[in-house]
Amino acid sequence: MTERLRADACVIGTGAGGAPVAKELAEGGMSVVMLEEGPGFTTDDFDARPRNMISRIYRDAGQVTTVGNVPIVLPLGRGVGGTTMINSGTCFRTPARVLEMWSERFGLDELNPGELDPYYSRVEREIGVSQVTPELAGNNAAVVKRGADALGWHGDYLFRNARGCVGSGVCAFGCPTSAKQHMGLTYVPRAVAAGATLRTDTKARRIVMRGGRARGVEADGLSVDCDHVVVACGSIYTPLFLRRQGLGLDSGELGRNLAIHPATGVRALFAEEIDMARGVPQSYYIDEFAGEGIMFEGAAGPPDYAAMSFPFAGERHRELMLRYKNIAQFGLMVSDSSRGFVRERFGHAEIRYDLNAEDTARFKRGVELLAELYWAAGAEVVYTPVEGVDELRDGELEPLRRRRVRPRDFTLMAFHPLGTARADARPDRGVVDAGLRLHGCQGVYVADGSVVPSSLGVNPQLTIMALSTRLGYSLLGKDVPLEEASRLRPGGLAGTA
Amino acid sequence: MSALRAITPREASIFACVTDALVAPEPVLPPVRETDAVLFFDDWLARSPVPNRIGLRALLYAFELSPLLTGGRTRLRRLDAAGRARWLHAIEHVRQPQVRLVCKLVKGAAQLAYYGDDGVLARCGYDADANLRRGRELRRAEGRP
Repeated sequence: MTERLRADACVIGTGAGGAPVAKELAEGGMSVVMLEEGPGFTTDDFDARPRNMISRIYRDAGQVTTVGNVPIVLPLGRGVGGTTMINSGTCFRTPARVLEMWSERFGLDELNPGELDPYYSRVEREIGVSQVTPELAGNNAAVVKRGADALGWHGDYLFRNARGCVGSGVCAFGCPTSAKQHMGLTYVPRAVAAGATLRTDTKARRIVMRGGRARGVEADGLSVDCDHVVVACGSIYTPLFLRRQGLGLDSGELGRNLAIHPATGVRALFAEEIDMARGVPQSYYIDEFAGEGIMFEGAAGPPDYAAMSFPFAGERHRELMLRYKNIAQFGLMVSDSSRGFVRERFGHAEIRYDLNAEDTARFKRGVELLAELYWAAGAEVVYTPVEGVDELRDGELEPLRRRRVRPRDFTLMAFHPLGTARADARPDRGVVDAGLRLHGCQGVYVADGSVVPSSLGVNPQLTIMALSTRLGYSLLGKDVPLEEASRLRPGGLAGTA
Repeated sequence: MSALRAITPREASIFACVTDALVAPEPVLPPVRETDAVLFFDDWLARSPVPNRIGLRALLYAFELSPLLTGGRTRLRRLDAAGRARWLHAIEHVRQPQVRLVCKLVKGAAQLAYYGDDGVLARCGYDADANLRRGRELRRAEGRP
């Protein structure tokens, strides 16, 4: 039997995009229904074991992968909180140069630093954004800082949404101390406290349209009558969902323009103990090369997580694992110019993405730079993610520099799918407008990474949350929250002026 | 192996063999049979999308038969340790990049499955229970959710 609910708004998805708008609407007096396809996890469900958590709280048991000239693993969370449940918690505001580019290329003039500042500040307060302390950053960050300092490269401790963090080292696998302030611990319970209805394990199937405007949502065992529908299924699933409704098709851009911030990691063996399972895994960044589209951020974890990313197999891999406590690892993220697309094939999402020559060259340069950094920090051996140049010794870089690389030579992951329902002021160029309203349709909005029209070069969760908060204020007809005076500005990048 | 949900006992045996070749645990680390690597793999596949599950199971058989396809006289599980090491070297250096990519996928799964066992984690210096205990005590003491 189908349950019938009446609400002012129905929000589909409870991640970085869905949760903030749901909470703002509920606190603003609207009746809100939140639909979440996945289950609701509590902190008691997180067991500090990456292997088990990948299987349980990641979408498709952690097997979401792009297809193209190099397969790229794309970890996504599935459950209340979405991918915020499994991310590293890093918070950056959208760089000003990116907002300027959005204005020029996509006509998004109103998304400028002055307009967005109050929304950022509000989000940062809600989720407790603060800077990691050197004590919590751990040795994995300390050696990288040492190398960066020796080379004169700019870096700093990251800002994160964490309260009372003790450096458990497993942010990406469900924080066992409830320190990481993901949506399932912050916005979602606050929305519920303000009267919103949350339905988990409930997949939205159809947006009911009448007379060119949204009138409701049909989901598994549930029908919601409402005038506002916010689609926040994430950059992979939002375009598939909209396409099934026949919505958002006019520009031809739905599902296209997929950017993912592809990433990889470089490891190094040190004589000193690193123990990358202790401390905040993503605690330090180097933005010296952000202007080239290369960003370095921490990437660490317990042995099982490390094992699958280390090179080699057999005895060489075992010997490396037995020295796990002496191994450091750092990530490299590319602000990609490559673009992919998503479509539905045989009932599943197909994510096509080919790494172009420009981004391939960025990876090569980034790996070289990280190797140089590790040598400057005193590493004994450097392990690269480049096939055929797995291991460097004695400060050497030449084998890497000489190597002609192809995309498939790299082992890559990506954590930030963006752009598949991109915002553009012009209906023939984008899927939503600057206010996240679906072009050509009343009452349907998109609030997730899919609206972000380009690579950001930085972690996108704060951008998504700020845009979502702004949508909430817009739907309520509320003024900009100017009382949220800017407290901190995580995200000023070097080399990007 | 009666608790298996997604793979057959034969597939479990092949996965254990492949994992043994890929992680080469002995003599310093516990043998695969003394870990929960195979049970994890089964559970992981049970939670996987159906096409992935079918593909990975098929891959196990491909691995099992691959020594025969490359001129060997027996299948993978019949090889001794030295033979498996030679097989591993051969598949890691195969010319076809697609095959190397597939090998990389299986390698990652096997290494994750094996090194996620509590006993192996401990040998590498990570005590998940202690980490968890600290988190629970902190939450209780500070009234965190």
